[in-house]
Amino acid sequence: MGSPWAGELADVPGINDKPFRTILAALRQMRAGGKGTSIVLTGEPGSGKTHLLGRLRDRLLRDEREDKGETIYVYVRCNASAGTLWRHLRHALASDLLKGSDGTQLHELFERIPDRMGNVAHAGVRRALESIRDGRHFHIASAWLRGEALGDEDLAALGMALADGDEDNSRERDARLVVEAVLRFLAPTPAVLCFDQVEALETYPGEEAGYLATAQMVSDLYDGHDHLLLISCIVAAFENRFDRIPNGALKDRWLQFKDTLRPIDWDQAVELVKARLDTAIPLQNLRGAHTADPLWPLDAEGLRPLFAETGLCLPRTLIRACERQFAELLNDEEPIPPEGSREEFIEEQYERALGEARVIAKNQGAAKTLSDCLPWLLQNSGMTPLGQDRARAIYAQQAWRGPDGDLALAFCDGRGNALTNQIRRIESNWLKAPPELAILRDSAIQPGPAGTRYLEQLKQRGAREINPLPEALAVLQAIRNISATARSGEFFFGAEPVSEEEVTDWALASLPPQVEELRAALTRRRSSPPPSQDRVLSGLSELVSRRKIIAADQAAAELPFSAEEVRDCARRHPMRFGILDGPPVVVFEAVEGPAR
Amino acid sequence: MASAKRRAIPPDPIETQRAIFKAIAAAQEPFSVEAVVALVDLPRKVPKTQVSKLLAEEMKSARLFAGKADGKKAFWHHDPKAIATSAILEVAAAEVLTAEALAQKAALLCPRITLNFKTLQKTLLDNGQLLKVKAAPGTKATAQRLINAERPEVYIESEIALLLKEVGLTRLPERIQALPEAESPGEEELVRDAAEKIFAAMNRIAFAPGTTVTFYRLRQQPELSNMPKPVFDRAALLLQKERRALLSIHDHAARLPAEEREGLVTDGFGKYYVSIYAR
Repeated sequence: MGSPWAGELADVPGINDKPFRTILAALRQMRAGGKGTSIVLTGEPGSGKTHLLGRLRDRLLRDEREDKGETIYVYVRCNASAGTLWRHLRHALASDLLKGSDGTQLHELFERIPDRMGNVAHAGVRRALESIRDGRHFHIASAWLRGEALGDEDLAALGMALADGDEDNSRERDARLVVEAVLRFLAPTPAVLCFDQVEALETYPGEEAGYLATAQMVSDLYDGHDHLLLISCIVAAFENRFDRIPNGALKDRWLQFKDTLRPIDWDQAVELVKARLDTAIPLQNLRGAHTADPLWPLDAEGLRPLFAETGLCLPRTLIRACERQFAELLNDEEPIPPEGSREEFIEEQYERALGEARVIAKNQGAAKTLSDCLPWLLQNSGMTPLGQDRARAIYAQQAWRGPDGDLALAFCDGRGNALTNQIRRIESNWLKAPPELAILRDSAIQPGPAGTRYLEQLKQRGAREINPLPEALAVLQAIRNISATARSGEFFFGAEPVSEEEVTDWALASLPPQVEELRAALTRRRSSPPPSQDRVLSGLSELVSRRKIIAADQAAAELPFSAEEVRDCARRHPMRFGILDGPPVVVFEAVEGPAR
Repeated sequence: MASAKRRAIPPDPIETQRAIFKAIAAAQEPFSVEAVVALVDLPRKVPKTQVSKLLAEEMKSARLFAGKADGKKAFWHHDPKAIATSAILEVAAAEVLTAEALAQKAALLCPRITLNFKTLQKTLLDNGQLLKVKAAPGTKATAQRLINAERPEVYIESEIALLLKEVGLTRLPERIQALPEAESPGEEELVRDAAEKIFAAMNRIAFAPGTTVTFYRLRQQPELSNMPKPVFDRAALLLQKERRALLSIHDHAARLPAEEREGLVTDGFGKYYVSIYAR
């Protein structure tokens, strides 16, 4: 299963009926006026966790059609990290509320209870919802609700240009306030938040901070909202992470109910395969002539060995065996070998993921991508994470120990005043080394004069500025996504699972130069380029990002640098700029396109 | 703010379910529906029909099993088939009996179980857990006898003694017992005992019957904390083999730190398991 949103499901209600009933009982309780709860579902990869969430979605749609009650359904795949969970939830919540071709869930809510807006005290959420309701600046309001970075003009269009004092709030705190406000807007309609692939919270294998952060988030949601049903799905191999959550009260709120998805027996297997075959339209007429054999054209005896050891089999294992058998039938009874090598297959999947990752990385901003994805790169580069530190957390999102000492990382991806405020906060709270400080930010976004001044002061005090390329962020996001899929046991090469370890090995051996450049900048012995070079790069990046293509002389005229400095800078950074040796010499923005 | 009139909240089925299964998991014998209703400690009275419905659902999911109590249908968290199978194999390991005698003797060990023991014996013969051997020598009996395929020591000892007798030799029983190269009964017993302890602890600490319990948590239980790892692992695997429990596989154990991997159960052939749950 990929996502429960993916089309109609061939479903056998008897399979995993018990955990489904647990969910329905909790839902009934909530609809009858009781408080919502939190349910944790465990199971081996392929036991049907995501399928069960899809079944729930279908059931809620059916209930709504039959006037049995309206319920909001939100699906959250947990490929986030401890420091970005609320942003991740905000994005998923807003995206699902705005999903749907025949009117979004939001529009239906406006129509059914028009005075819901009275529940919303958060000014930004109120303005965004009003804009969506009235069809004004729909895309900007939707992007704001999802937490995507907006320029000052877009914010002004929504009537919510922020006052100076408000912009310094952390993104996470903002996201939490937005989530809380949207949930209050939804009340009293029950809402189901499904957290799938909880194990994907580990930014590198064994990281436990994400579990504690999720326990905290679930606890806050449970305490603050009566109409919420929280469902979390985790692969059984990661269940022992719950045992290590240090705060028992948080763990108890998360694990109010728990159920385990089980392998199926032979009778259930027959039902499942039959249901799948019955939905195959090309087979319908042919199967009519074989009513005595529910599995026709498959051979039951070929499937029975799957049940030999324990009498049970995982649904996905069974379905894959059926797929194999079916493919063999179509191919003159010869097994069809998967095309290419495993490495080629991983590369193909990575290329597919990269396109989507470019969009994700662009929309969610550099700070979230770096928070979620950079730990994988650093941990695989021989660095070890440093624990939480209250004083450091004010100015840096992460800190790592490498062979050259400790390094704090501050991610800046704001725009306008927000960016200036971010840099000012770092400047006033970083008390010089140790740890050393690296500020990671998009060089194409220039801070205002005050922000530039703070940045210069930081650099004079020894901080380094690192400018990850957008493509580096997209690559890291794509690796993160396919690693998470492999970790959840959902990445297959033919019938064989591809492990997270294989994905990691392949990715480390295939890092593109944009990521190698970022890795080198973070792990090499500390040395900064001369400040003058740094300033040219920053200025030229911003200019070229706006103009896309410009003559070097023209760029020099618009920047406080010489044409020679501009040309040198463009040649030193071939991954950022293209250069045409004229005359006149022309500099243009280097943009990564899809592989040909 | 004006107080809103709230609808009466019906008995919470999940709460009821948990209380019922806590009670049944602690029981030593099957419970009738009436006994369950009387036993369960809940803030609100739960109708018998609702309890029956919940029990029926659990039986459908194979987390509860049917038994007999005072001639009435009753419920148990043990699988009668697993218990009967275990009894047959135990008797077949201790004595060499005909199918008829074996079924009778095993049935006596499980008075609450009403299954057909002969049918079970046939299944055990088909899958190789029981073996047929020749009729008892020196008698007129012609019926073949059954032995436990994994624990044939009693049969082998009697056959060796007969062979020795045929050629006029006698040996002390201890010397004959030392001949077959089988695992020492003491070790086998140890593993069986460990399996029972694991099974009981699992049912005791499971969030609800049939939900996973990590081996990390199981090993924290006082009765299991000092159990040698090889014995613990074999006992857990035995529970799966006897189809009383299922183990959840850990598919990337090789990548874990050795200390963490040590906390998992392994079959010694590269498979690792992270948790266990009742079938």
